[in-house]
Amino acid sequence: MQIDDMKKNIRKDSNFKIVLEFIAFTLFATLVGYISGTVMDNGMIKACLVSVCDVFVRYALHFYLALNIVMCSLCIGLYIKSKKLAENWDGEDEKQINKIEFCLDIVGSIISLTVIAGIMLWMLDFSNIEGCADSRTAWIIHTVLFSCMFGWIYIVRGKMMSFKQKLNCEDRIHVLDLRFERKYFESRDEGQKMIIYRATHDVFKGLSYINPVLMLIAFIGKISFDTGNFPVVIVLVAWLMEMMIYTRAVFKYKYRDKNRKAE
Amino acid sequence: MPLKNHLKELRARLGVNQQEMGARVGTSRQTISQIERGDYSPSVTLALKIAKTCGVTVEEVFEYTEDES
Repeated sequence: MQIDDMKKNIRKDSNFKIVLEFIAFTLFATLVGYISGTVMDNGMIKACLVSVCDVFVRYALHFYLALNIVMCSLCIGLYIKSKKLAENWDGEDEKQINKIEFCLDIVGSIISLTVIAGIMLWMLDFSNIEGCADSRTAWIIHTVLFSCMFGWIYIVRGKMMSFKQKLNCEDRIHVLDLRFERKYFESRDEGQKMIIYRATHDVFKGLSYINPVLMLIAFIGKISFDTGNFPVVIVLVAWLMEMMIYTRAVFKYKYRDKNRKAE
Repeated sequence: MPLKNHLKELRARLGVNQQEMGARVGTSRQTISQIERGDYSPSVTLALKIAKTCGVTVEEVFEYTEDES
């Protein structure tokens, strides 16, 4: 009886927390809606926002170049630092190896970030090509710059992976392998897989919060900034895909053993 | 963590580093490090392999203690 009461209390507390979160989210959404509505009413602020966006689009290629130069220098710096640290590593000092792996993981994260931000800026600049006097040259410049980004990423990522393989001799998957992601995951041992599982779970939890917020932003954009239905549809499709992949995986792993037994 | 372990001491007795220990039991250095820190409880198979490599029983490597909280 006491256990039942305890369970009831825990459930009550948890539900109360969820209700509070929902109210906070509703208030936040109302506030954002009010502010965006007020902003749209004020012609000067709207003009300001539009001009900021225009400047961003106009100089997208400059931002793209700056991003690549800064990130490339940062990656090379971190790679050199981790190499120097590895030279002094005695094979036992855990703090030292953690520092080395931290530097290499940061390089990996910077590369992923650069790819996403780089592609976004590169695409934004595409609208400027039409305004160019010599659109053919503009096309060539764009293609060369795009290739340059993937060039440095390929070199730095390759160096980083081969260095990681030197530190962990069990790693034998080449970064250029067409099925790299799959083979890399399969080659992980149980401890490493656990980290991947936890990270993936965090990603799912994070997306469960981010998707409604993105949906809200897309909807506010549609109402206040005339962005149209497309962003709303895209967010919905992304949300739907995420849920479908999750549900498929749950069914696959939940009923896999039962199906085997039935066979 | 209710599962404590003496892997670090046993590894020191064997005179091997984490990388070598990992190679002996067929796992990575990171996993050995995680087990030593108590961040990860290994599977039964890996626990048996570790015990066999160290030449002791599983109970001598891993120790279950009741969680006081």
